[in-house]
Amino acid sequence: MYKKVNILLGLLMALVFVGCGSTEAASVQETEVAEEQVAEEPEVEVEDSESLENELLLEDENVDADPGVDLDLTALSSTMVYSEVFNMMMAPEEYEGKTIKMDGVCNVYQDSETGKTYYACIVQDATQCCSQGLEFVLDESQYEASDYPENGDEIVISGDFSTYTEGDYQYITILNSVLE
Amino acid sequence: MLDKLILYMGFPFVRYALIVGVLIALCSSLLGVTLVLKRYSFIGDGLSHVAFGALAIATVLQLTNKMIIVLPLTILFAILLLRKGQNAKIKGDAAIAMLSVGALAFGYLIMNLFPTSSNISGDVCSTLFGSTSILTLTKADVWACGILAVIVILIFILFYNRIFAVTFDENFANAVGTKVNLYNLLIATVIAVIIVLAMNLVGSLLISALVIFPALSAMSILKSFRSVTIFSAVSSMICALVGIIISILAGTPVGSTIVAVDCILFGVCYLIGRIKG
Repeated sequence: MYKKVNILLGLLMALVFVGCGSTEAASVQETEVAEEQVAEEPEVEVEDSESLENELLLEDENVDADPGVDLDLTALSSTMVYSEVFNMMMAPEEYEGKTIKMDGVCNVYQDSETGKTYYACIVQDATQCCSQGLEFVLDESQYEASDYPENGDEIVISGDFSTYTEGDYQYITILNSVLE
Repeated sequence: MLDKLILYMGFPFVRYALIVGVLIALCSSLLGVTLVLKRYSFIGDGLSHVAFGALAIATVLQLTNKMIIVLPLTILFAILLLRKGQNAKIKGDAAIAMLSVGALAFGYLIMNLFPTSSNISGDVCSTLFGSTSILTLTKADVWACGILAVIVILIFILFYNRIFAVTFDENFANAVGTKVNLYNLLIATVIAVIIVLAMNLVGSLLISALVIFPALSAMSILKSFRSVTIFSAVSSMICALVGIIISILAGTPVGSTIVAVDCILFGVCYLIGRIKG
């Protein structure tokens, strides 16, 4: 048993030494090649660095929440978003009055009895088998009825979390929403 | 990535999920060693399907607290499966298979015949695979899970020697005066409780992984019952913790991520065991 472990350790150490040696030997050549590439193709390198910066910005955007809102769901993973929206529905009093920012798919529903149209931003869980969403109402001072998104549109909205009662039931909505 | 994790840790439901997830993993791994050695590895699967069937009944009846039906029914079937032990007329694997598929089929049938939501498939899928259930716990759920988990751990510690005896040789344990039927009943009840709790973590279909993989990983590299149990418990907790963190960072289903981490650990332990000889 100990012999096999020693042999395995020896092989691993050998691999490490070999790896170090080849890197050091090649690094000088790689540097020379890199310098030549920099001299020959400056434009390509600038584009590459710009795209890299854009990628980094996107990553930063995913990590950094929007400071202008109380709860930025766009900064969270799909698992977290679904769970947070679920918790909003289960305990809406904890979110009352907070500004929420979220992204999802627009879903339009028209009540056949009242004729009223409702708009919701739908999110799905990681397995994509369950979905839920929050109703939103656009800020009337900025938008008209024709400005509402179509059913199935990908949207990003931010607004004030609020509840209201219709009939015997309490509903949740994001008031004074702004489309981003 | 660390910044993202720190951001997520600010959400209470993430902290609840980590606490409950680790506790459930600990409890299931402790009993998992006993179940694997008694050749009842798939009892987690069977009982979870029974719990699914009970959950379907509770859903159709529109009960607010579904545990009123789910927990007693699961305990009842656990007792039926384990109480007779090695002297049962229908042996372990056949009894588990019979209950497992029967309960799953009846549960899904009932939910389709008496639907209570517009997305039956989604509800069933979420219950079976536990995609986000662990992240939707209330504070009351956390307290309930925590208390049950502590009770399970205490039972295991207090009755460790007797559980050990019943696990390895029931007839000998009976001959030396151990109340084998009583301890089988106790084990069955504890397993049922763990299964019902674990449904929140990994869903009905993947519960067996929480029970089996930590024990098998430990048995691959360790030999004594005590060391296997300790390693199983520690590794199960770490895998649950890592699985939950990965799932919330990467946006993957929680249950399957935890099981994937368990599988990887088993693979590593198996290789180490083979090298050790």
